[in-house]
Amino acid sequence: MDSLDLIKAAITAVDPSKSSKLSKVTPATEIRELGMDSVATMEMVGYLEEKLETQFSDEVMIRIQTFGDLVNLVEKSKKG
Amino acid sequence: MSLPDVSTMPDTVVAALRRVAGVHEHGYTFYDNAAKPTFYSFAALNEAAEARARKLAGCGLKKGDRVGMVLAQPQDFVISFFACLFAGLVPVPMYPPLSFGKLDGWAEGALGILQNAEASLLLTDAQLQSVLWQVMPKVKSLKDLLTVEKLDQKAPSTEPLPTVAPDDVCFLQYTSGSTSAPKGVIVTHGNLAVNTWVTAVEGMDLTPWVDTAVCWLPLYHDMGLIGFVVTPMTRGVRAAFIPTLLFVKRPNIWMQVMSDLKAQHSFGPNFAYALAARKAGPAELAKWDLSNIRVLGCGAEPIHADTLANFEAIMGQAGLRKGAVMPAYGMAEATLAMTFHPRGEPLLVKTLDGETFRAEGKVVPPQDDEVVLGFVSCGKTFSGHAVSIIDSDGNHLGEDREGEIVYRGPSVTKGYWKNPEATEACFPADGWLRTGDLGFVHQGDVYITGRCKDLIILNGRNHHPTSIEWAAAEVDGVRRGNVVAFSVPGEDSEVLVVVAETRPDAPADTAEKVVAAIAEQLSLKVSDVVLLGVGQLPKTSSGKLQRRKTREQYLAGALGKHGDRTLGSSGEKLTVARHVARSLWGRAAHTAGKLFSTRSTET
Repeated sequence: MDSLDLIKAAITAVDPSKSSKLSKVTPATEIRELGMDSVATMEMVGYLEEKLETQFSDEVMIRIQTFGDLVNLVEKSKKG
Repeated sequence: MSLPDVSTMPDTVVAALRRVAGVHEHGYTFYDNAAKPTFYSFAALNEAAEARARKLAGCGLKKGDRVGMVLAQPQDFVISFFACLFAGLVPVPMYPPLSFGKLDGWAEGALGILQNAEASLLLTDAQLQSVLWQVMPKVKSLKDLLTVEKLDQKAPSTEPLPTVAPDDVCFLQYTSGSTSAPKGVIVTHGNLAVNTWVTAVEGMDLTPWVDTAVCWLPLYHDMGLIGFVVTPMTRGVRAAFIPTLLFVKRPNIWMQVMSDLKAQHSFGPNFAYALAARKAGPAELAKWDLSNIRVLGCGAEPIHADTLANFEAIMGQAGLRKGAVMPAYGMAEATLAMTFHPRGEPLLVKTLDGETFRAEGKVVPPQDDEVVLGFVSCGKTFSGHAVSIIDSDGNHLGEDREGEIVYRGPSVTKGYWKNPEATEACFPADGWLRTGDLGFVHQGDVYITGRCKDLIILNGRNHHPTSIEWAAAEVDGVRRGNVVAFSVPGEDSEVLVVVAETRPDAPADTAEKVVAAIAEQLSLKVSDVVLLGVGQLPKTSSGKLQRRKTREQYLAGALGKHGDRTLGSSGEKLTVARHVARSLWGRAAHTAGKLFSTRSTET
């Protein structure tokens, strides 16, 4: 699955009401623009970690701002 | 080997831990981010804490010096916390940055705490140190920033470790607070000894050498730190620690670990019960055995009876007994626990007449066709402690009257560190701690109804902001839980202002609908509605709304213009880049400072 699609699937799994907004998402879109709270955001990260069978470090996560950042993170974990 | 006697209250946390130093079959289990457990017997915990205490003493720190701790992993945190106490040092637990980049606000908070505490050392882990180097040059008292790995490589002191007494400061608990200045609650060993003892014996009924407690709560916060790091070992009870972030990412791990360990006790705020209930699927419920659970405490935020009832109903499929969820009330200024609902009893919801309550602050049974309000009981206080209700002149009101909750007893702490004004306001000479919470007492049970300072008085009537905020939150487009209501001086009396975050797709007439909803439901006139984007309302580190700060920003015309939250995406990038640069700079400056005995004064 394409990395952005995987992220969209993660968001839909955590909060199905956000799915309609996902079509407009670009790499520059900030994740928080979707209006998820911090708990839902971390739930979404948990979904990604499970699918990718990986763990993102705290240090990397606190630097994530946009969908582009998250795509990069997912790409890296696929390679690593 | 026989187990030590834990039937008496130890007088310090150090004495409590030393008392179980010979115990090899009971102890604490720490889960890492991959949910891999590491067991430390109480004997091993003593050894690890002692070894690290000697390293701390070897750094030239002396009794009473403050040590900032930013440690996300429970294992690092618990051993370092006990090590500080063994070395007579005062740990200052601080929250790590744990979400997607909000580093500016976080660094500002960390800096404020370290400066107020005048910390001598900052202890962190390898992952977080890169972010922390930037604050280092700005805190004059800081001698060093160390990772636990670096600390463990230091030469240990061979001098005897200092002794601690009940009156000595045990640690500083910084409250997330609603004001900008950080307030560090001074918790003594004596405060902790008493509060953990009444919690263990009267509140949770911990059975020595039998029970297990499970905690995913952040350990920099009083509920996790006192409730689960200190209390279980005081009473010879096993505990297991799950990293907070792991719980948020995979909420099922909470009940999974409770089931695996056949645990009896845990605690969480209202939202955690909603999350856990939502995530538990049929597969999990069929697999878990929650029949050993006796007490699941609920505190730290307003308690919704429906949420807890739903949790009990769902987890009942895995054997959870009814009445296991237990509302509690507490605050850092009272060490931690103040009142507990009786164990095993169903929630007690008091319904009352809304009109009389709002107009006169009196608790009377609901009348026909009137507004009915319901509040959840947080139970009674402990032996040796007292709860009372006072009016704004300080008169004690007795039962069934709403006022400020005040609290007295040996759990009341010594005030705020280096903050005489705040100390005087909350810890007056009469010995009654001013909680700032509104509530009433009915048949000895304490009911929380709101916060005093946020009270909105319009046309001589008291209104809780929450009821106004809830009405606004029902409007389509408004983000539930992200509404703040307050009053500001109007032309001839206070007028009502509502500030709400809206979703990006909110309809154009959202503001009008908010005005209409509040008028319809509460018959109140809203003078101004301010709509903000997602994440623009000021919040505390734990995500609580900051009504006072919102009001200040409104009056200053600065709403939505503060902090990193309102920068565009390129601005955000710059912010992060600046942080990294500052961190590198801070580390270089620190090294240079050590070489030349000078200190950077970066502004």
